[in-house]
Amino acid sequence: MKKRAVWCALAVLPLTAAALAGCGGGSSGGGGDGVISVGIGEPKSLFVTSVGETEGHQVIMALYTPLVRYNDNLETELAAAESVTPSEGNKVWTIKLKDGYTFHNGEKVTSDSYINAWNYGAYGPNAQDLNSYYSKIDGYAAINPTDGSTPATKTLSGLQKVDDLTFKVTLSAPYSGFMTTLGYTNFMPLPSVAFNDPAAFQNSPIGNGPFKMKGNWQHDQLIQVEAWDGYTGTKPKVKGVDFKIYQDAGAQYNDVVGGNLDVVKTIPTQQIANAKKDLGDRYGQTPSGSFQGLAFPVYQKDFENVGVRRAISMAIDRDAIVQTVFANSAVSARSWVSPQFPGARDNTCGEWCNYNPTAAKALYTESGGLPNNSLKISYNADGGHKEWIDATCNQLATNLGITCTGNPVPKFADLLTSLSKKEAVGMFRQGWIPDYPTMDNYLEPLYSCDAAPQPNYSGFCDKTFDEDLAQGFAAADNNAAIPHFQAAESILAEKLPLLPMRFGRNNFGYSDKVKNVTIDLFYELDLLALETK
Amino acid sequence: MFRYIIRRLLQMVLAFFGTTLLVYWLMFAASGDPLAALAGEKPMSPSVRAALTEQFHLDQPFIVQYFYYMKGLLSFDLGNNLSNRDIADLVLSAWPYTLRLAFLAFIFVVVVGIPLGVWVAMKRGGVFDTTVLLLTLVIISIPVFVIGSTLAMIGSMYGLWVTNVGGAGTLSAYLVPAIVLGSLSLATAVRLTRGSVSENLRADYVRTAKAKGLKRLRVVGVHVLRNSLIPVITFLGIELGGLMGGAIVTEKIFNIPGIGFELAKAINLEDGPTVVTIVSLLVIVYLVMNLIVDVLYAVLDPRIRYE
Repeated sequence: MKKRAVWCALAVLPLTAAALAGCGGGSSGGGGDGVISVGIGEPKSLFVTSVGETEGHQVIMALYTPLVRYNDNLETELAAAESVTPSEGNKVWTIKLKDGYTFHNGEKVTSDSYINAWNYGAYGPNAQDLNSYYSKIDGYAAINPTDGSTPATKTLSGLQKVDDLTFKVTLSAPYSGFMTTLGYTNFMPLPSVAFNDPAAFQNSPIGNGPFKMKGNWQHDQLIQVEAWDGYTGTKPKVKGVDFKIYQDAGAQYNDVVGGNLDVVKTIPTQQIANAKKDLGDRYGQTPSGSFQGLAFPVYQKDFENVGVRRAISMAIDRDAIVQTVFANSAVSARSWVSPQFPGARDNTCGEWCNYNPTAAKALYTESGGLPNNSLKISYNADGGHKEWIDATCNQLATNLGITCTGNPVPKFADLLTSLSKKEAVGMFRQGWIPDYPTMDNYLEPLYSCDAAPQPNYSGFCDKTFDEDLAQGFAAADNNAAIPHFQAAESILAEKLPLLPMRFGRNNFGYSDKVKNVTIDLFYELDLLALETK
Repeated sequence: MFRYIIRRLLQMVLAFFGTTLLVYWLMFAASGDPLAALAGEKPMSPSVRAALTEQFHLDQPFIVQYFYYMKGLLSFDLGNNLSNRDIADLVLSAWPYTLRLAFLAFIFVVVVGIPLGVWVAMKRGGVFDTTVLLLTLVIISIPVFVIGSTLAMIGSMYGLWVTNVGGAGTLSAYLVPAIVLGSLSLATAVRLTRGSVSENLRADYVRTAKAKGLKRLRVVGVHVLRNSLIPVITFLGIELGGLMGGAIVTEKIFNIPGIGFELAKAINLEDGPTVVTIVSLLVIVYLVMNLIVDVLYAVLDPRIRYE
């Protein structure tokens, strides 16, 4: 302490008042007092209807209790909801809330807390990031005019209050997976104070979850939450969580090794080789739902022939890339839906994704090949994709005897601009992270006709595929929908609009002060399971 | 002197408007679609796109957007950035971190660099001189992220020093990053001082001073040093301006949420208003530093007069 005082005194002379801010109290690593520190990146927002990224989501899951949660097998279980019942045909869903839930400020959680929050998020002029997540609810189109005009009403006609703890949601089309989607951030409730000044509210959000905010969001530095005594659900085993904000995963990793941070959710690829040595059994790996593939712009004549697409797929040694470029921090993919998902199968791609250079070369020649025998693979240069794209290109060049070049564009947005203008970008990389564990969450956004041009960037459109999805949506429940979704995935295996490359893995590490550290398929650290030693 | 300063300040106003216009135009020309950059790989619904376009005047021509921005700037209302955070608040909270880092690095360069430079100049050609020259050459050749990452790794492995500087909140935590950041300037400062001092040591007035029987300390400290510092001051002044602009790499490695980091993030998000605000502030800092350096010349060397 004395040392710091001297430093501060010295600092006053040349550093002016600005430096003094840092001479207050400092915070150290968690642990001893039952508080655990977790490294995250700066969230974009903490207002639930605008939290579309994983960093903010992690904090929101501490502060809020969703209507439903997913168990270890990714099956949907009730959390804040007492029951969620669909009508015949999955169009009208009745949601009954558990009694006794209140917000951190004492306000009772009622159907209005949900209806108001969803209306706010879905109203176009509010420009919430998760706006499109309400698009399945009836009345969405009316409050989201595409011509830029101001909508006549401000509320979703599909939301109907029955009583204080019950409300009905009418969808514009049948959707069997609706109950599963209720676990995502956009379907959280908000207290009435949230709408007075949303910008101020998100600096200190009030939720219905196991933790409450301790102080304000200190931008780029720290978000502190503490276990909330008034919580009626399953209480967490830790007293609080300090979300320390880092700019760089490398710095997080260093701090876990040095004992200044308890959990690092992502260990950078270049550190994974050291992680086993540095952390021992405190280095963990779990499957992740993140998906990387190489898409064909199917509107382009060069890739019209499915034989060429299959030949390219067979000429890629996915396992070699995962081993050499990613040091096994990911697994090679041979299906379009993570095999961890309920109903999903492994290796749906079959022989077309098995590495077979001889057959690939033969098929390539037989089906006429590419113009000039040259191929371009476009990717965004800001995402660390260069190594694996180049490795893929080298394999294609060697195995098919073509010239293959990686085509970096500065950002993904630039790539999208080129795609929307239907420019010849060649093949391009595409990634996807699902939001909730239903197979259609991988299939519908990326390959259905309605999702073109975004996020179905490849422009794939197949009637049978869409019909299979629609039948799945109309099925009695999630289980009954599975065969239809499987049929849809099989169409992808046949047509290959996008080549599956790999599924991610969560590579995380933790200090010796904590145990029960698990990260799920959606990159969420389970804060309720987390314990101090 | 007074008139000179006033004239320089008036020039600064012109330079300020010129640079903001230029930077705003560069951002405008270079960025494709800020909203697409904001949305990332998630879809953005057309109604949200329309609402954001109107809020940030993205459908207006360049000069209108610039006008809106300047209007806000001159009325001290910088508005919100694309992720809805108050820009003034963002800059004000980020800058103190950068200032702490910059000043510590600067002090390190001055306190270590100049004496070292003088010392090696006096022992020119000796083993010590050669060693220092070689070492500075090595430091100049190594990229800052190599030095930074290595020190950060060693520090965390053996618990020697703090590597999460922003989270530590103490000034002492800035020591190692400041040394990393300052080491490059240090090498230049040493070499510059050495060259300048050793040249002046051979000057006639030094021989006269020695012949008068003045003490060695006085000869070097007053006669040589004062005359030798002019090029060094020029370098240091401009260097301080640069240091205050934030150090993107060092800030990232040691997790310092400073201005360099915010600038890099804003450029990445194609967040025009934030970039222009930060760059304009950097321009002002730079201009002021230049003015101070020029005024210091007159203080150091009575032969220089400004009218």
